[in-house]
Amino acid sequence: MNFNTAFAIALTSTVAYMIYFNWIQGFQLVHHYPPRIDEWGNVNNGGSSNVGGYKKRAGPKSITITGATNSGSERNLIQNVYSQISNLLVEGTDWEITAWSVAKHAHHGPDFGLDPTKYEMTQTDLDSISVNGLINHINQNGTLPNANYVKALQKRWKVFAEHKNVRKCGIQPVMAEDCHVVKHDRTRIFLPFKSDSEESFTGYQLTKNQFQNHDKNGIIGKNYKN
Amino acid sequence: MQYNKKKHLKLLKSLHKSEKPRKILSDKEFLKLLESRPDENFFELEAYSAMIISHLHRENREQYFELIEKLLNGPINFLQLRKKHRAINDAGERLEAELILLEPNPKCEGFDDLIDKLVSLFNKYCQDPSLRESHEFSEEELKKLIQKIFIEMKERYP
Repeated sequence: MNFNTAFAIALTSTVAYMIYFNWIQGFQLVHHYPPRIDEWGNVNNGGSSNVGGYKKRAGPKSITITGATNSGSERNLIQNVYSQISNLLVEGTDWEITAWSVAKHAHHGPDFGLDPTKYEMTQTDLDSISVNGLINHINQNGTLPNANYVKALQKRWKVFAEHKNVRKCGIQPVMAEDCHVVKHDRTRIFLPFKSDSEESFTGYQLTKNQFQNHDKNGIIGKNYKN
Repeated sequence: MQYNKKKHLKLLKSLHKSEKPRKILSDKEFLKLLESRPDENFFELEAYSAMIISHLHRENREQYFELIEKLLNGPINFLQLRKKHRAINDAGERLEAELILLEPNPKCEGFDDLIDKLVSLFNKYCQDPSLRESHEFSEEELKKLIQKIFIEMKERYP
């Protein structure tokens, strides 16, 4: 059995089990698994989420779903779907490339030279993820990014971060988060890792203007919250 | 930095001798792309390119304004705006690839900063409050920030 088949079976079984269980229990019990995909948009989080960024191996957050408590944040929801994909370590650092962060930014795959159509995905899927976010994209019956696509993009991030021609820019603010930033001049691609958790944050190609501004001021994305 | 069309053309011609970057890449091709290092002229060339692209963004400001107004007065859907932004960036690169150059209007300076800033905001928008991170925006916050940038755009680039 190849990985894709195993992944599809695991996903189908999980969803089927959750549908059955929720039907039986009427959502009155405490759940210890993520909500089924079509309920992802209905979760209510009691508190503010993760002010300082995700900590490595942080425990699940409590989320209420129609009166019941469930374990799941955006991270956990995505992570559970891609639980069969291991995180990758960037050689010579403590930085981890998590499958969930790669899936969340699946729409940036073409910046790393990936062709979504080779993975049974379309540009429309990627556009939808970019506008709605992965979870709402799924809730709106969008295609879940193929596991092989997530693995391929994760591998590209690793190859990128480890390449000798990729500049290590040190710790810099990226959309108001302190990150270890690596950047390649020729392609204008950058990849940040959160400095507190050492986990991958995002990754895409900067515009020529953004690239030059980053060279001048070492900042990507203004902090509008302060 | 002043735009110098002659120099821009000369740099582009020298670049043309090397291989053009492709969009879809195998693992091997991706690795090869990373092997490429900027030469001494790279940063000057990038600066000229950015000026041409900024000019293109400003020349299309009416279309941007229309899309921004639509966004502010309706539901948040920034796909069209994002596509327009990307298309103009790509168009600038395509023009250069064909050695078609424009004379950037000095008045366009800074317009690309504003439009880049505006488009970057979308990366921080999360429509679902239950999933929103502390650094991410609600619809209300996003619209307020877009409005602020929009006012500045209209004032500086009528």
